[in-house]
Amino acid sequence: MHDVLKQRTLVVIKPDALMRALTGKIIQKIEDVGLKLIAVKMLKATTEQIMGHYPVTDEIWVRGLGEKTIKTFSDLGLNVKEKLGSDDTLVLGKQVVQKLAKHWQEGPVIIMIWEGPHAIEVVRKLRGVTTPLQAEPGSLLGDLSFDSQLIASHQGRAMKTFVHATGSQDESEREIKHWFGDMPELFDYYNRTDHFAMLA
Amino acid sequence: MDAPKKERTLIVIKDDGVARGLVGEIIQRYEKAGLKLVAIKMLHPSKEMADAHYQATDEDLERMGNNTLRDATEKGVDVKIKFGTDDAKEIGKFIKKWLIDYLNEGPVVAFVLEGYNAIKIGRKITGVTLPSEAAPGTIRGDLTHDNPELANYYDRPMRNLVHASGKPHEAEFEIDLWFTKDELFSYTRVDEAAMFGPIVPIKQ
Repeated sequence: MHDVLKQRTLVVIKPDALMRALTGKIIQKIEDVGLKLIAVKMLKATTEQIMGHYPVTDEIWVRGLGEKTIKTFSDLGLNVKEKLGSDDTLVLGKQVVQKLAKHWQEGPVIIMIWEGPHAIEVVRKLRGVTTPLQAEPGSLLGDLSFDSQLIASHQGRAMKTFVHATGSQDESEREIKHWFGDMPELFDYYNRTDHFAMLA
Repeated sequence: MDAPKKERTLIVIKDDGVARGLVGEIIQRYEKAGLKLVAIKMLHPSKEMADAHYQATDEDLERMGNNTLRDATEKGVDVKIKFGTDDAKEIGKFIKKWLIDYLNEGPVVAFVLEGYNAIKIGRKITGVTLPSEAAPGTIRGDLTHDNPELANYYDRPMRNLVHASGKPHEAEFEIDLWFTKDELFSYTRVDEAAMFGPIVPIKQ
């Protein structure tokens, strides 16, 4: 039970969200649901840091990205080989990683850790599904963007999913360690005032 | 005319704002006015750091003490009973201790805002020091209503949610104290040109 109550999730506000001055809105959304902010920092991510954020050494994972690209292009009626110069899943997957890195490096990012009951699932729900066009109204991606695979593919860039939120318990542990180190200084000892009513 | 310069100001959301879940709301107030977030971190200020933050000269202490003395006289409160002294500087020290305790109470979110007259604009959006007197529309006016009488009664610092730098030299000193140079970033907000740039005719 303790694990569920004190779950932790990593959230990244990406450069496009900073440029659009959406930081306050994003934080407020996660605060309003009752989750507790326990770490925040701003940084400009290096290529090495971004490559460490994703499991880029896992060929199956990279090929998976390539497969998704092939499917997206075929759904959109686009010729992937003509447009991206290859239909090899590994080559395409690596291209996706490059485009993701470019998105991350448009400017500084804000990296946060949030703690609370079902934190991982709750924040993913608030963020909405990965494609902003399909993300539900009320979710961050749904309310604050219109981006789609169609537009991103035509513009040759990654889809602008301006908030990253951890997807699973395993990812959460890995990502927190990656961005905050083995002995992170986490401010998890204060009480959120609303918890006196929410968890009593 | 010299080109208008941008300033930087330090804002600290104190522990009551963090515990009440007001961080996002407060950041938004400054963001919406066009101030740019160029640094942010969460930390728990030590007493030493809080002491350094409120670097008060003897004059500052006396001014703080005199403000309290004036308030007390107006309200017929015996400061000697309250503080054990009626010396302005001694009372000032007492108040400084409260301010330090407040900053040291729990984790805070500190950030740096950049913009034209950022210090003045930051203070305007924050509202005056006493929340009970802060105007509606300001952070302190809208989000709390604490006052010195309550603080005195409960023997605690007055909680005014946020700190905002007051003067250019204070802002510079405070930013240096709270952030290292490599924790400050620069980028362009998408609305900067529309807010402050010259008129660019739209091609028909």
